[in-house]
This record gives sequence, structure tokens and C-alpha cells, in this order.
Amino acid sequence: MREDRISVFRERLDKYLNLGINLLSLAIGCSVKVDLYDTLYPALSLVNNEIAKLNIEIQPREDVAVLRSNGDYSLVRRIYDISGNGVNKDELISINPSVALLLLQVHQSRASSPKEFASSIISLYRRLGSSPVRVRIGKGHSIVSTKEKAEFALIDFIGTKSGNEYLLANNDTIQIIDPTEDPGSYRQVATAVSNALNDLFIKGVYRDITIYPVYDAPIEDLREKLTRSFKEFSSKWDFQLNANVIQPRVNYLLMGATVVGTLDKEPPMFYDNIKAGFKILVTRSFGELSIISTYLTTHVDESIIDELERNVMSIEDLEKLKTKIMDSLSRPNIEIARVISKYLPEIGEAFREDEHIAATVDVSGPGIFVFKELAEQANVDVALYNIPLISPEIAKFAAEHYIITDATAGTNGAIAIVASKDVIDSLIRDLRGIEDVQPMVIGEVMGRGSGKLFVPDYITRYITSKSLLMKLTMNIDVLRSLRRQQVRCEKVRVEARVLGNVQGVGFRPTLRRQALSLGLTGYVRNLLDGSVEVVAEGCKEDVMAFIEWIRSSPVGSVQTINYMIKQYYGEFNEFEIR
Amino acid sequence: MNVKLCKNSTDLRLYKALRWYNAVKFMKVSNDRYILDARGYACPYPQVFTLKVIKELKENSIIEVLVDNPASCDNVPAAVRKLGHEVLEVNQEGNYWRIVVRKR
Repeated sequence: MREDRISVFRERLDKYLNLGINLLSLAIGCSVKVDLYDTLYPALSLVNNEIAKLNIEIQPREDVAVLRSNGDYSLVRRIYDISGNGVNKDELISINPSVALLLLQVHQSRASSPKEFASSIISLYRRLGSSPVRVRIGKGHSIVSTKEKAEFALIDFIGTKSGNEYLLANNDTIQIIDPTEDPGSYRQVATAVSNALNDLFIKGVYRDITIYPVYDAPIEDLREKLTRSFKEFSSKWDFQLNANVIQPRVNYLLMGATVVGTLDKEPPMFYDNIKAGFKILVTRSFGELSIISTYLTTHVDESIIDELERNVMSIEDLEKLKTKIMDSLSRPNIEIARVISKYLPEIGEAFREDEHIAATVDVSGPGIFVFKELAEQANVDVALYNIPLISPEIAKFAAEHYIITDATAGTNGAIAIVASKDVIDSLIRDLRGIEDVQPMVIGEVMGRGSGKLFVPDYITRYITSKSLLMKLTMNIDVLRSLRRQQVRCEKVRVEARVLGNVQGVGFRPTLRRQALSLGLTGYVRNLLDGSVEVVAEGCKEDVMAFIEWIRSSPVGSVQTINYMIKQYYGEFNEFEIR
Repeated sequence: MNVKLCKNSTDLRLYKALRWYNAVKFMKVSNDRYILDARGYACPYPQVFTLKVIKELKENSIIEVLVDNPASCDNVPAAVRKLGHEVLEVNQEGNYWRIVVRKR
């Protein structure tokens, strides 16, 4: 039985290897997207000044594009190479998009550092931003491929006229969800599209949904299978399918969609209304990817099976659990969207805390990190007192064996809802009875704040990487560099000496990361007397925040920091370790 | 098959450990020094391969792991350290990382 399963898997690996795709090079969890904290945000800060000069606007982080609309819209898809060759000014003028959804597939070497990534994207931005039409990039989503020459930029330009409802659009893709199943199977496609839809569902969208597929495959046969699965999914769930859009053909594996739908209520984006005491509800447990990854890893390294069976569960039980998860991932959360929509204000009405949902978030790719992003976006502090996982034992096993870096991560996962206690109580009654939904309250808002997230100590069982854990609890405002684009600021330079136990403790890389997330340039270096020299330039407010942050650095221990604020020179292009 | 390991007697177990990952390159460069080239593989495979191979090596052997998946440059060192092995170097060389580990 075990031998059979593994030999089928190996045959499939060989089959795809002959077609030029190594299934083991496809990310199912920890590495598919360009890391927001390590790469994307720092990269955007590096090219901030240039982007500010272009006729382009990068929307603050909101996964889905939200437009006022009269209900009619057009969608034009264009595919360019990643430096944007082929972007045509005249065409941009004639399309006149209200928003552009951008999907970049880049080779992983470009995601290896912010500098590298910045130099890859700036040329595309330059081309998009040099026409008289202001291009609003509503959702940028960058995925990494392990194959060179499999790069492209896909842009869905959406145009609509302002009106009395909202148009919401989102793009999301995966490479594969479960390599132990056939890549063209219904469940892979259904999961990928459901995952794209989830960002509409969280906003209460369930009407007039159209799916514009995005897919690629190394051979025609698989492409056809994928096409059939898109059709089957759309007709099964009664979504419209528009398959007449061009597809990237770089012969790599990719599946997902741009999805568009309408909303005749105010979307749940009342971040400023979130108050102390508001509760956080999730619609089910999370951590789907730790189960799929562990199951997959047993096919790659059989010695893991013995360890799994000794410590956690039998491989047969894991297989059953994995199958159950795949079934649930391939079902779209549309019933939850209907419930959410009941708790939204009518168009033009104000938010009322005793009736409405304040905010929602999709607990998928980034797992528990979404609560950190939510806290930062809403400027509140949030405490989670429970981290419900589908299988805490498997999650712990996966983290301990480095099978997954964040065992709370998922795909098309739970939906989290923030609202007052009364609204949450009523929601729980409405959500009960929906298949796969087990509503539960897992935390609450402590009050307005700076975006701190408090998590139970046992989170260390599920996220073993120290740098990742630090990001979860550290107080970096990842959105600041994006917000600053619109604001002019007073620039200054600081020259500082930091004394204490600051060498040989990872102090410089930590400082550099913080400096980049604040959009600062300069350098940090060790001095012979054991102290550290820091020179930083940037907006005064950010420079001062940086100094304060160094004072309470999470690594080493800072005794004193002597600094002088000086005139801004603009001496540096980046923040480096010397 | 791209596995570049000789099928001689001493390395047979290593050969078996990796034989069906067609594209992983595993080379013995000198006595007690090996290179595992896991470039082109996404997370978590580089660490799975590394742990699998290191189990079969003699104590004090050196293994250089090449990875180009950004997440793996954190995960491979963390995983081997946890098992008590010594990470001697993590160097970025152009578009990939070389992680040098001593088996303990």
C-alpha cells in the first residue's frame, strides 16, 4: 500500500520532469510569494523617490481592489515581460483603467534581496507610469518561480464608471496545492480559484461574480485538463466564467484567477472604528498547509514516516486527514459571504458598532501573520488568546522538522471577522450550520495602538524560525513606506554610536532590516572598541523612530546611544552593513 | 540521471538515499567533503535533502549545500543546527547561497 502510493508519486515526478517541470520545485507553502517583510516593502522603499515622480499610484495594502461603480465594467488583460516591454502609452490612454491588477512571476534569484527586486520592478513601473493616464496598481502580487525564463507580468486593467455600488476585484494564483495528486485535477483548480475568491467573500461579495482564469502548463494536455476543471468549478458553483482572456505561456505550472464581483453594501473596511473590546472571530481552524506539506514530505523522505507514526499518527490517518482538508479547500466560502453581507451598512450609511462588522481578513497564505497586518492597518493592538489549528500535533511536527516555516499557514482558509461582542454573538448563530464552519472567538482588540500583536507563548511550537517570530511580535510599521509616498517630509541625517553588548549578536542585520522597513538609507558598522556606528538618512519622524527602536533593540542589549541630528546630505542609495 | 555520486561501496548508502531525486546533484569533492546542489528546489525540499544526506555522513565530514530558494537560506542552517551540527559559513554567491556544515 505504502509502496504503491510512493511509486505512483515517483512516476508522476518523472513524467513531469520529462516535460521540463520538477514538481518538487513548485512551492506549496512557504516560498511561493515574494516575502512582503524581507523583500517587497524594503524594495518599494528603495525606489520610493522614483515612484513618487511617476504617474502611478500603489494602493496601500488591501488585498482586493475596491471601486465605486455603476455595475458595468470592462477587463482588458495584457501580458508583458517583467521589465514591461510592450507597454504602449496610446493603448493605456484608450483603456483608461480605473485600476490595474498586477501579477508578476519572477525567478527566485530576483527575490533574493530588496535591491535585486527593486531593480527588477522599477522598469515596469517606469513604463506604466510614463503615460498621461494615472495607473493605480490596486493589487500587486509577485510570485517566485524556480525556473529561469518563466518570467512575465500579467496585468488585468479594469475600467468602470462611478455609481451607486462597489466593484471588487482580486487576483490570486498558486503553483500547486497538492503534488501527490494530478496537477490538473479538479481539486487543485477549485482550491486555487476559491482562494482567489476568498478575498471577495471576506468583503461580503457573493453576487455577479465572474472568474477570469489565469493558468499555465508545460503541455497542451494539461492545459486542457485545467480548462475543463475551471469549467466544472464555475458551473458547479454557479459562477460566470470568462475563458476568453489570454494566458501566459512560459510552460510553467500556474493556476488561479482574477475574480470580479459587485457589492451593494459598504465594504467592511471600518478600520478607524475598531475599538477596545471588539472581538475576533474565525470561521474555522487553520494550518491546512502543514498537513499537506507533511503528507507530501513523507513521499520524499520515508524515514519521516516512522517518526510520524511513533510520535503523532499513522500514515493512513494522515492520508485521511489530508483528503478531508483537500475537500474542504476546494469548496468556496460563499455562504460565509452571504452572512457577512447581512452585517454591512447600506450604501452611504455610516458604520454602527451594534449592527455592523468592522473589518474582515482572509487567514490564508500568511497564517497568523494576518492578525499582525490587521493590527497595523487599523492602528490597534490585538491580543489572541487561542490559535486554533486543525491538527496541532501535525503543525508541531511540521515545524519541528522544518517542513514548513509557519505551520499556521493555509490556502482558501478561515475568514476572520472583527466586530463588537453583540454582532459577534449574532454572527455565530448565523454561521453555525454552514458546512465546514465552526465559528469561534480567538481574541480581542486591546485598544487603539501602534499595531502590536500579542500571541500565546505556545506559538513557538508552530513557528520555529526566530526571525519570523520576531516579525510577528516586533513593532514594525510595514505600511509606513507606502503611506509616505504621498506625504512630503523634512529630511535629516543622524550619526549615532551605540554602546553595550551589540557586537556578535546579529545586531547589524536586525538594524538594517528595521532601517529598510522605515525607508532609511545609510549604514551600520562595528567599531574596534565594541560599539556600533549608525548613520541614517530619511524623514525626521522615521529617523527618530529608528533611534527609539535601537534603544529597545530586540537583539543584544543597548546601554547608551549617543547621537546627533545633522543636515541631510542624500549621501546613500541603500542601507548597508559595512 | 543527474546524480553524480559514484556507485562504489562506501557511498552506496548515500547513493540510495538520493537515487530517485533525479535532478539533485550530490558530489563527493574530496575525502570527507561533499557538495549537495539543491538549487532549483523550493522550500522545504532543500532542508529535507540536507537532513537525509547528513544522517549518512561520517562525523566531521563537511557538506556544502547550495540553495537558491530565499527561504531555504534561513531554514537549512536552522535545521542542521538544531540537530547539533556546526554551520561554518553561509555565503551569498551571486544568485545563490553556499551553506557549509560540519557533521557532528
